[in-house]
Amino acid sequence: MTTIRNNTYLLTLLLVTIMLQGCFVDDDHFIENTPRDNFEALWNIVDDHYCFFDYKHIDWDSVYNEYAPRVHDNMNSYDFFDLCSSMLATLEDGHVNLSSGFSSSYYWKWFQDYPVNYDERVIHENYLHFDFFQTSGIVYKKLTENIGYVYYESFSSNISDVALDYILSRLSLCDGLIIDVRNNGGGSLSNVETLVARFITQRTLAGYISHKTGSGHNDFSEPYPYYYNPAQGHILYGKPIVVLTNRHTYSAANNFVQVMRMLPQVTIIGDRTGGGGGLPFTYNLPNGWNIRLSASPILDAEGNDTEWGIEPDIDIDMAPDASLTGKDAILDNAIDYLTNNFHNSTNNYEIRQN
Amino acid sequence: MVLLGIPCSHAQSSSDTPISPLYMSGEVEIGRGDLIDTYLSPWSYGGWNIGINVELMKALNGCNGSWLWQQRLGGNYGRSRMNISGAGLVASGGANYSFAIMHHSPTPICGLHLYYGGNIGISADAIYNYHGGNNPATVRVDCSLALTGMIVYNVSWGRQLFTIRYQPTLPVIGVFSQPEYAQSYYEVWLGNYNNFIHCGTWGNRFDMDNRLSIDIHFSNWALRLGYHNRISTTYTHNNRYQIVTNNFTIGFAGDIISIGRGDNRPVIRALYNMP
Repeated sequence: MTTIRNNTYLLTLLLVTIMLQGCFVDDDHFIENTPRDNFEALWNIVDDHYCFFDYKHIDWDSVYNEYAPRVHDNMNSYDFFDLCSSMLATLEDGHVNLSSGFSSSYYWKWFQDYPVNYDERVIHENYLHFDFFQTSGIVYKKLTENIGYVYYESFSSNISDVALDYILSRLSLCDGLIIDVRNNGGGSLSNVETLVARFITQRTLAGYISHKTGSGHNDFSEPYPYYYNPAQGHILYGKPIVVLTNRHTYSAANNFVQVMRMLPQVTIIGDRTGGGGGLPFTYNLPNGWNIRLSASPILDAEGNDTEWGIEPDIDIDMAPDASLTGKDAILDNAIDYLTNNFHNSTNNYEIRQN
Repeated sequence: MVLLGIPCSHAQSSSDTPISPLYMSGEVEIGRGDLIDTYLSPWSYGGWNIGINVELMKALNGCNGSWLWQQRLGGNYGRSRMNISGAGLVASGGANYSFAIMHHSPTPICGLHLYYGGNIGISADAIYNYHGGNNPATVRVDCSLALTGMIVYNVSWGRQLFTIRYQPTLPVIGVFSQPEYAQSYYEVWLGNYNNFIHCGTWGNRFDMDNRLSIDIHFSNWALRLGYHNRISTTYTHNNRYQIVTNNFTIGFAGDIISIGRGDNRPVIRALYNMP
């Protein structure tokens, strides 16, 4: 029988084990949940991760010098939130949001300062006559001019391949297709790929994606080319297409336009898109608020940044009194464009199987 | 006949091929987890952590008990909040498997045994930050070769038998996945694996697993009480990732042995080599 006389060994082991608890390097213990520290945290997170400082010629240090003196630890949360929101607005980026328990800040000027160029009521009443199909977040109908019309409100609505087959099948005999992404504020890039994959017949360079590799304002990875493939085993649509845009075509919708405009059968009509060419990341502030910011630039197939939006091929605005006249000048222009240029074009849609 | 238990003295008398029972333990653990992953958030988080572990061990017959293998399978889950303010919410979880070969080396101290050897392990750990966005989670998959060892002290106090064990495991080299500073998983999904897979050395990764346990023997099984510390750390491309858990464990342990009637072969046990 062995007695516990070698306790020294065991005690040493126990102490070593307990010491290992200290291996967690808690280097934020000096941060306090005060307006001052939260401001510093916010400014530093943006400084480290925001990807368009140089592209937009923003002097973030000057922004700090302007706003930091206005922060004091006696501020209430609402005033502090407003101050931070005001600071973030200097980035002029719709992807930059500060979210708290009581409010979220947004930068809206990328579309607020421009014509609306979209009126759902005008379209539903005067073009669709309140009679249309709707699936996967997509409204569609064959217009009286034998033009197919598809309205996709948000890339956050998942598009199923089955739904797309039905839509394109129904519109396959039309002379052309109008894809309306006005007021589409974006969503999932995978939906962009799902949709674009119906309009290409070969592996297509969609663009480039880059990301920050460090905290420096110019620390970026080499742009990585990414490609879309045709939707194998599903209906592909090869007839002329017009994509309708306005200033509220943003983020993933902007990405959709930037890919579609490279295709030879596609024409962009409407207003310049709102942009939003950066993939946003989100970070916590010490007080639990969240800051979302553009962290990863997505470039078009020519390597250009589209953060400030994409010019249409045909730039046209709706009349200010469109809701009274019931006329959507952008949609009218698209119908005319397809009718006059491609009427009685041959059937180019096809069904491909794996 | 199947028994879960400590060795019996009559089993040492035969010269036939020895019996090598399978040692098995199962335990649950609960404690605290601390983590930081600057890919998701610059701040550290702390909260509760729970886990489950299964362990198998067996002495190798052909080596007269001087070598043994050990397999471990475990999983854990935890939820944490920001240490600064208690705000935010992060969930973390993972699973791991390891296979070790160890050499058994008795010591001059009665009841004290040393084991040392190598270990190959694979683990997958995920952290999910409820802030959402395009960087809501990280997944770290790791495969590594490690040094491992055990100090086992079999001791009795009165008629009560105890087995005290400490086992550290220290990965030395391996591979693990970790995105770059602000590389989205979407970009990885698109096919950009550059700088996503890393060769793990002590220069960019330090992991360690420490287990301290006391097995309190009863008739055919042992009650396991213990402490489990796990450290996972990586430093890659200006991203810092670290999870530390400190859990108390409770479970059972014992040898699964099959002895026929009149079978007097010797029994070589992986762990319970009582004095």
